[in-house]
Amino acid sequence: MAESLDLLKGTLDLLVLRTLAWGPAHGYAVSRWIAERTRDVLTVEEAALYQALHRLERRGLIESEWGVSENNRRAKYYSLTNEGRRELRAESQAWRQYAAAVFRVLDFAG
Amino acid sequence: MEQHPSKHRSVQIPLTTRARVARDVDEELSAHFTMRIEELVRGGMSREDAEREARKHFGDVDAARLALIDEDMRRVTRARQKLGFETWRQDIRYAWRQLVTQRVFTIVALLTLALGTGVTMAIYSVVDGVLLRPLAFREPDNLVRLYTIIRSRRSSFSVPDFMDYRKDSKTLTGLAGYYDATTNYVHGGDPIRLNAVRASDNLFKILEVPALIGRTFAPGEDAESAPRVAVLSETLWRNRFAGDSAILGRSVLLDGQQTQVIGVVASRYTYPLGADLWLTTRFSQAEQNPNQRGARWIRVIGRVAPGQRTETVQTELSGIANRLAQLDSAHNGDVGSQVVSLQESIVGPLQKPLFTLLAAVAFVLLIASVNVANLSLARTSARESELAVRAALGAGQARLVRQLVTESTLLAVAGTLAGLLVARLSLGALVAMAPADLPRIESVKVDARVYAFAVLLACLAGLAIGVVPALHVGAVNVAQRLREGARSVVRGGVQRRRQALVVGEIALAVILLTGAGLMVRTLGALRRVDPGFDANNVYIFTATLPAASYPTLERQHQFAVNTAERLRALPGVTDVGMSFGLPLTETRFSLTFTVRGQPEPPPGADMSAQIRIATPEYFRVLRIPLKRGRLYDHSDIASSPQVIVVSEELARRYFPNGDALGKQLITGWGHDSVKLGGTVVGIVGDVHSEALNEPPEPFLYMPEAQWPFDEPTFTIRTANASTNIASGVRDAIKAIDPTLPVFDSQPLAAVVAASVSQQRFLVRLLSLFSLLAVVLSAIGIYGVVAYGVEQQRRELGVRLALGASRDRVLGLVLRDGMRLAILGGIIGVVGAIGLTRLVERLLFGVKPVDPWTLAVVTIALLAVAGFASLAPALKAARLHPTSALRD
Repeated sequence: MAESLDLLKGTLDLLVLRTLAWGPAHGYAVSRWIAERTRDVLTVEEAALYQALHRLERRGLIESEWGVSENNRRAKYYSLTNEGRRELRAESQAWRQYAAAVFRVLDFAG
Repeated sequence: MEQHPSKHRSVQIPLTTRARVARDVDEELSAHFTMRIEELVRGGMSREDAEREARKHFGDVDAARLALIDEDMRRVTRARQKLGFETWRQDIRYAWRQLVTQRVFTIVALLTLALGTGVTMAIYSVVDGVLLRPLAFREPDNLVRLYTIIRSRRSSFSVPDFMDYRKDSKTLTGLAGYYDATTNYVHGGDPIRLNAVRASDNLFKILEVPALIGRTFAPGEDAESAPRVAVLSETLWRNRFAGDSAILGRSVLLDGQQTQVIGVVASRYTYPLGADLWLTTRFSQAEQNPNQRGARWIRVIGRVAPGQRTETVQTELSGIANRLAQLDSAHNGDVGSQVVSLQESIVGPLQKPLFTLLAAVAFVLLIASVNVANLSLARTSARESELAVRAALGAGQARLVRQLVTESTLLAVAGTLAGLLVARLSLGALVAMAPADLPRIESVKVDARVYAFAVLLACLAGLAIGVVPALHVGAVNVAQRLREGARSVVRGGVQRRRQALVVGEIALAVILLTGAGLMVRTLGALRRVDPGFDANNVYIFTATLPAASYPTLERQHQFAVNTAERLRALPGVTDVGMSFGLPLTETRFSLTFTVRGQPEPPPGADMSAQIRIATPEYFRVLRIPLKRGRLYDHSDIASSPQVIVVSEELARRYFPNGDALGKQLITGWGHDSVKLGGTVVGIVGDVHSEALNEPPEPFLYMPEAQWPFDEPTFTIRTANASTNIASGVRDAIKAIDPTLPVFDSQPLAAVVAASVSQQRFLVRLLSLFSLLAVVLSAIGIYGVVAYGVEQQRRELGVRLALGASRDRVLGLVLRDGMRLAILGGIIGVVGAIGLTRLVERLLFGVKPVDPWTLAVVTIALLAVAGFASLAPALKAARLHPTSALRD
């Protein structure tokens, strides 16, 4: 397992939005999904994750509904709003440009 | 996770409490832990380890929980606000759409409201600016005016009385005395006359007025021996001295006396109103002598000491008055004193006329609101089916009422905004129309206080317009409406409400018309009053002779003789008189007198009269008729025995046996050893001197040759009205004394007209308001009758089909309109009889309950009502029976 990195500010929101782009999910599922995708390189503290979910809901980027989980448990499901989808597109684009710029600097020597 | 959650919204409901939010968060977190632990246990961990691991993985649970709850509360609160705002916005948008679609209704309603609120605000601006606004001084409520009361009439103070009150009063922090004294000032070669006020040195201290530049009077500067000093008003300083502070310390020549300018006082602190500059009283020893207690010419103000009230001041002043009465029963035997707030002393007499106007204009606004309410009630009943549908779609009755109230509020606010424009535009005309002597009228403007009033008006108007339709909707049974459908709805209730509103507005119009009618009759009666003199073709002007250049009575008399001679030579001039004071102007000079050889009258029963010093020509110029005896003439000179001419009123009142001629009258006033008085040689006709609506007062006329004076008013009779002698007068005076200013030059008829300017102002405005009221009522009647015809189409159609004549249908509809008018007329007449009593003091020559006025007003209004009903009646008579039945 590679050493885990702290999340860059704002990146968590982006990851959450990206996760929910697949479809509605509850907080635990979002957490699991991010861990799997990043192969545990990025540690997401779950307290921060839930705060991100609620913050995004307040900003109107996602909305929540109570539903029943696969194990027949009541769970709160989050899904993207149209506004959230727009935000995801814009932020992914910005993040890619940012990363590309960083890579260009890092790769210059080689 | 792809499984669709069942549709059940989480914390979205705006009414969510913090407890519910917290429960939601707790449930969410516990679900998280359950899932995490289950998974770890499935992976082979013991339950305890799994729980520990889950906690470790999560982070600080308690902190996170609180953060989540806060976050959610913020969201919920915002949502709640947005929802409220949203409904409100919806209401407004919907109301706006309604008003835009119903363009005719909106325009008529807006115009009506703009007129109603506009004139109301304009009048309110005047009432507020003149009456209500506090004086500019510090703690103006503590400033009072003091009066001497003689025979229940307010009078000024004598110098010795003023000194005694000032010495004895403890409830006032101080008393200041002042009197008007015009002064001549030669400015760049042009002589001008200034309104000077001679005041005691503490006037500004009591008013707590600071100097704008320089200083105000210092203690001791009002002594006779003190150097002469002057404080200028800001207006005079800016207009005549270019606002240059270099004026401070400089000497100016006032009435030929070097006077040092020591300061300037800001315009808003001008007291008394109209003062150009302030000089000091400089009372002489002779003026302060106790034998002068009868000469009351000092006006007195004071400031109530901290902790004292007006009542305690009054008690103390009455005590002082009693003491003075015992001290000097000859002069002060029956003399009291009175304390009145300074503001009331300035504007008190105007309260009645101005509040009458405000009440009148409030009636107009009420009528306007009734009209708009009527219109919107008609509209509401036309919208019943729409409202019923909205109700069926889930809008609660409260919401529907709120919708209507929003509409009426929107209308009222827009109407009042337009009204502000009307007020701004009409205020200028109003101020120009106002009597010139209305105090503080120049400061009247549409300002923050008027805006606050506008807000109040908008609310009241919104309520007045909205409440009736809202009540109506509140009473509508929605389900029943829907079942019955729009056509079969019984609209009797609406029509009855509308009729009641129209009856009300007719009643208001009758009251207003009656008020206006009474004022018209008053003005007519005043114009018919014979003033006792003929003002036509008489031109007047006044000059003030400064003591420096006219030190002796001989010089003053010589000036009068020379001037009269020159004026008589002017083309078109037939006769020139001269007098001290004129009828219907503010110059009043009254004295008590005794009859030689008769015992002194008891206190309170002394004889008093107005004094008019005049040349023999004065009687000819003003055509004051000689009734008995002879007029004095040019043989009655300074060295010959003193003679007097008295007015009929004086002869009647004090010599009821008809033996006035030949009596010798003596006053306490005069110079050296000679007292003003003499032998009565003639009796002349009475003259209305105080006002046309006041009875003529007793008059004593003395020859100018025997009693010259320093402020002559010349009365010049011309051959015809078109003769313009103003420039001739100026040249004549210039030739005699280039330093003398000529002032108050105008036709005497203008003086007479100005004396009724208040009544004329009232007549004009009340007539205007009544006209508005009548027009609005006519529109109201028309609206209701026309609506009634529309509603009874079928019934009328049936009647026509069954053979009713068109005349009969016409009569039926007319009768509907007239019934309202008659009912409204009766209520209005009753109301008028009750209300016009309140304005009795404004009336002259007519009783508050005047059958003639009431009859004319009622007939006029019935005629208007008939006219207003005629158009819908004709329309009804022309109905085609079959088409009426088909609709």
